[in-house]
Amino acid sequence: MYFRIGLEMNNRILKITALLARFMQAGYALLILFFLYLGISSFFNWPLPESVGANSWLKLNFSADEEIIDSSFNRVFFSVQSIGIYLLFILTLQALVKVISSIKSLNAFRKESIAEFRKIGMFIFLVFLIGAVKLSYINNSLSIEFSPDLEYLLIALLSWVIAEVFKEGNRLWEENELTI
Amino acid sequence: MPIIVNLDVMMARRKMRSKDLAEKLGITEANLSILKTGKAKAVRFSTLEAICEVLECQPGDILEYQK
Repeated sequence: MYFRIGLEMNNRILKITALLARFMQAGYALLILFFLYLGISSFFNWPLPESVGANSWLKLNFSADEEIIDSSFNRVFFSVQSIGIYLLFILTLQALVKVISSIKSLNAFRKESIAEFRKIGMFIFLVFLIGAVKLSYINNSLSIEFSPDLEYLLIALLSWVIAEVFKEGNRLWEENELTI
Repeated sequence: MPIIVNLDVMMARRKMRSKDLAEKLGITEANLSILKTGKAKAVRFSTLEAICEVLECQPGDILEYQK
């Protein structure tokens, strides 16, 4: 009885998480398109609007970070960096959706889940590395800024810890499966 | 593993098919096959009890220890 109620609640959480993950994937895909435009625009001298979609609910204000549009190098670097990070986010969310679907089909402790969590850790760790370095070219001088976001490192380590937990869970699950 | 499951010997002696035995034990054929091939890590007492009852034998007839 209690078990059933708990299961339903969990299912709602899983549903919401999967939905949010899909929504965020779409959002990141849109952002990748915008940054693709930003990166390519300097090669073809495309006009760079100060803000995209000024009248809609989605607003991208490029003039907020003036140093980004200051030089074409900054623009290309920033857009490549952002596209890399957003691609990694999309892959992370994809892995998360896979884990959720495995929980739904009561296969959470198969070996695949361990691999998914290791993947998530790897992706977020790459985001940590990519996001840590910031090159900018202003007034004919190249500056390298190193500011790591420790939050990403923590999330990466956390998902590696979860992978280890799932490894232990997989051992127990296999033993339970092979008990006749 | 040094514990050998001699379930097929007992089944042959009682002339029972896997399908019928699995049905009588209330387990799936896949699980019975895991048990027969020795892949199983543990056997529940309830399962062992059911096997002994259906095949009219003792646990020692099914399980054997070899060094």
